Amino acid sequence: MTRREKLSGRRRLMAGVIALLWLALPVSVLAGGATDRVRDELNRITAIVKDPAQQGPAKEAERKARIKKLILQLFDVQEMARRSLAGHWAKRAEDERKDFAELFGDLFVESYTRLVVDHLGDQRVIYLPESADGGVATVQTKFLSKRDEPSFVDFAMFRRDGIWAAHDVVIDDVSIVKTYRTQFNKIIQTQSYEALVKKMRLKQEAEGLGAAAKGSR
Amino acid sequence: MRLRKFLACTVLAYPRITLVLAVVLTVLSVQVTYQRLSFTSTRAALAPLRGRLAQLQEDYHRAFGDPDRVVIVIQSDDQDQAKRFAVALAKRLKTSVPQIEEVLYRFDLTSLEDRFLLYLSPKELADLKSKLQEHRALLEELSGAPGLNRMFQLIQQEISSALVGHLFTGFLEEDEGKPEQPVDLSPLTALLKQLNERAEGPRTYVSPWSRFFVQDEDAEDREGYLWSEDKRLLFVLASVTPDAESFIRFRRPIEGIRKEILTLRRQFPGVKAGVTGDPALEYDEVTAAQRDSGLATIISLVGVVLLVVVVFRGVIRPLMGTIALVMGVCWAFGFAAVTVGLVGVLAPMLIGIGMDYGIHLLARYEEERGAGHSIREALERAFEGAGPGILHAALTTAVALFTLLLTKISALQELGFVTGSGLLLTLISTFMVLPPLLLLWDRRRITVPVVSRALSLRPPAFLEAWYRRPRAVLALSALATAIALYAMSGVQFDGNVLRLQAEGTESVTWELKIIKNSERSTSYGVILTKSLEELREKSRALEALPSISKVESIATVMPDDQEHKLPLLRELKPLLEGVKLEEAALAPVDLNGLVNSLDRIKSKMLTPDDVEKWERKDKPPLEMMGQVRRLIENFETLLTQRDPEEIRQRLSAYQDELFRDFRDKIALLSRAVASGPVRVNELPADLRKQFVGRDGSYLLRVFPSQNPWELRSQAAFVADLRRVDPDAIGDPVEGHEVITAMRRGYQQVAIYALVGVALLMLLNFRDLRYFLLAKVPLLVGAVWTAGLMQVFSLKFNLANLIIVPLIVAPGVENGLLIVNRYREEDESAVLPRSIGKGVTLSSLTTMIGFGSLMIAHHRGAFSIGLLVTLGVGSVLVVSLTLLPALLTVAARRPLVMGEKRNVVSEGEL
Repeated sequence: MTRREKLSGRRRLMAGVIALLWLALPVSVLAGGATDRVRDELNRITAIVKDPAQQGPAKEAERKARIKKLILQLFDVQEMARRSLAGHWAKRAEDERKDFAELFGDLFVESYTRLVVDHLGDQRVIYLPESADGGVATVQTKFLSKRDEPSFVDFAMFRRDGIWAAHDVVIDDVSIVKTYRTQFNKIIQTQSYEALVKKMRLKQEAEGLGAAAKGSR
Repeated sequence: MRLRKFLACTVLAYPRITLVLAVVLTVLSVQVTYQRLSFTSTRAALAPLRGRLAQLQEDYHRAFGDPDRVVIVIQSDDQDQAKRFAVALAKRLKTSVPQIEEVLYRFDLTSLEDRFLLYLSPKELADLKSKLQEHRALLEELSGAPGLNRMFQLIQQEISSALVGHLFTGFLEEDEGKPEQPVDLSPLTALLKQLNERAEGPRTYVSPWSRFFVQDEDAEDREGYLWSEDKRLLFVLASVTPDAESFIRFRRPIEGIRKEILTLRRQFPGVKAGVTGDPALEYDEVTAAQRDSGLATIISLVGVVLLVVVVFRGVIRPLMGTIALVMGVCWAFGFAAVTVGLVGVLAPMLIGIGMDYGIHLLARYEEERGAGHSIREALERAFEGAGPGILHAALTTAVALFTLLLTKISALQELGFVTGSGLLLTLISTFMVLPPLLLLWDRRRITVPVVSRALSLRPPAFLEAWYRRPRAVLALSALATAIALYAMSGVQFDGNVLRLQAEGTESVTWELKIIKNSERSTSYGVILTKSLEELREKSRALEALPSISKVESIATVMPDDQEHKLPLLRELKPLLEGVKLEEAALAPVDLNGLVNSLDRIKSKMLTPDDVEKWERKDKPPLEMMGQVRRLIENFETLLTQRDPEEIRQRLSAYQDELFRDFRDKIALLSRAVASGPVRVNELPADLRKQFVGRDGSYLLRVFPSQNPWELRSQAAFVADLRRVDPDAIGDPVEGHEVITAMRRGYQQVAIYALVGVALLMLLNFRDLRYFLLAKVPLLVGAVWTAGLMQVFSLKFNLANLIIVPLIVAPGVENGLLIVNRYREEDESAVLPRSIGKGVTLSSLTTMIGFGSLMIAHHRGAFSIGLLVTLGVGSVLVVSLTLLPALLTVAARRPLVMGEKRNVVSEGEL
């Protein structure tokens, strides 16, 4: 074998390795990005929850607003709204979908904020090995309470415009989107889509919410 | 004159033949009495009713039988122990006491198990549906892959699901008008408790599954044990056969039951048990009365004999009087046996009154003998002097007794009939037997100096002082009467027959315990209906009434509204379709996996610290969460302290039991959702026998909320019963009817007797002045008696009311005899010695005879003794003080008390 042939062989091998690396790289890079994304957002949220300057009833509104902002950055609420309505999404007109997504966004962000503030905000998070497949990934975490009692929270992520966004959270094997889907479907089946929207709007008004989802884009 | 002639021509002319006739009549009477007479208790004697109520009662007995039912009450804080006691007792009673026909301690309702859902309310069925929907995934998964590990994993998921649902979609259910319920952690708590217990050591398995599906609070009732509402009293019912040969009909069964209870209580030290119900109450009453009556009889006999012997200074003549009386009583018994067939208070009543006639005749006979007359002459003079008075007194008293026939109470009518006729028979025996006996065998010589006529007309020496101051006596008597009149307004009637029994009587104690501690009583109302609809309608109406505590019927064990519930059951069916009923292999218990699941559950159990900063109002159930947390921590500690392998084996055994039971419960639920309606003919036969009559009628047992033996609450209860059904029957109705009729009857009798006695007295005297004077002992004596009843806190009751004629009799007699003699002596003697002796002696014998009952523990007997003593005593005092004082004042030829006559030193009384 000539040197050229040897180099050529090495190059081919390198090329194969690089090719393999390229094949592998997006997965690990992308996946690592999902965990980082979740970690970054959760760290920011935890910092707000624990920030002594943000404590007390006087700071409550401001604290919540900042947390909501971070939540909206992490979650794609329109995608969540679509998945929550499942088959019913396709039957709705564009305007209805838009309205619904806004409504859903408001309510989800409010509830998730409550989850964070009341349950998860001051817990220690351990990031477990994530699983990824193309443009989707699952960031698995273990939340440990101050008594070291575990809760397993998985973030279902997908890439949107090159940025990782969450479209579901599974808390101890219970999916938030699936929970929404089951309840929404039940009401649409037993009553109507309009009844569902009415209930959501009533809740929105009762909580003093409005167009939170608009800021998500 | 005619009486003297008649008796002289008959009994005195043929004394031996007369006596032979009397003896033959006596023998025949005894024979008839022995064959036909029966003894009855106060309650039984008062029971018979007439008219529509009696007809209804008969219809009821025809449809449901009329068993003599003993109620055995078992009291224990430990329900299992009480149940075991009941089972053991029932078994022993069936084998050891032959007089027990049937023992009932539970209605076996297990055949209705598949229909248990029909016993739930529509709301409970809706709750079950929502629980099945909520736990559907858990049930389906668990039936496919049973095991402790999987179960706690699924529970952990359910808790997470509840948390997520609460936070994200809870508002959707809030708007539907169903306020969101906090997660029910009680099933988890129950499981964790069992997990801990089983990890520590072997335990009896108790199913926790009902907490997951349906809290079937009535499940224990379907075991069919006869519990009180608070489950502290357990009842066993025993139908017993009375002993027809014995005076104490229920001696053998009651003593047999009590013996078995005593034996069993040694094995169950924490259990108390006793016997009540009609047969036990009757047995206790009769035995107490019999026990008391033995000593009372001895005291009264000894007392009366001593008194009579002392007064008559001999044995022979009083004995002759007693023979005459005994013969008369035997005739009366024979007469009663061939007519109405019961005695009750006949014997003491006749002895009490009938003895008087002999005493009065003997007293006058003695007086005449003392005046120097021969026996025959003395007898004839006694017939002439005392005879008409005795005859009129007996006739008048008999008429007073016969007025009882005008009441509508069969017991009173029979009493009036047998005592009235018995009294006349003792009168006949006094005139028919005593004179021939005296004529043939009174060989006593007159040893005392012949007493002058004037002396014999003087009152007994110890009373003379009184008669010197008649106006003082009148004033004192007027004062006493005024006080008595004031006091008598408070005299009451106590209709509670339980209070007649001795203090501490076992059957009464247990009956009162039932009334106090449960919603039942052995005395309850009965309503019969033709249809189930009518039954339910009346049951609902009764339950709404304040005087009613509980209604028991076949509807109690029949689910209501079945036609509406069955479609609800069908809605549950699809929810169970995914649940596998076939047996699946159990996975071995994995302790690490178990701890992992429990830790995750624990992480959801918040502490007060966790929620300190919460601004929301909907706080979690921290107490329950704390309990769950503690139980999990306890289990984890156990794992570190004990051998894990040993715990694993114990939990594997627990797992086997738990999932065998799980399959059974799921299978039962699956059968229940597919079951049909419960029909009457599917109920157990012994239950139907209790509540469905042979004629197809349905029985409602209605229990009073207040003591049904007390008149006031009894009246309210009966009024309420009749508001729902005018044809209601049962013990309280019967008691109320009898007591009401008795009170009404006695009021009528009082009027009839007063009028009857007054007419006869008027006929006798044909003089208003004598008539009014003769009425004094009865009327004033009655007022004084009523006043004294207040002083002694004595009330009229069902026992002593019957004895009232005993007070009326001396009242009539004394008035008649004293005023007759007063008239006979041309108003010159207010109380001749023989009359004083007769009146005093006859009253004292009655008082001693009945007063001896005051030693009785039986409170009814005691009240009879006290009432007779007070009543006869009052009449006696009035007869010896007030009446002579009135006679002195009213006399046309007043006796000069200071007049010197032939003085005799001895006081003859």
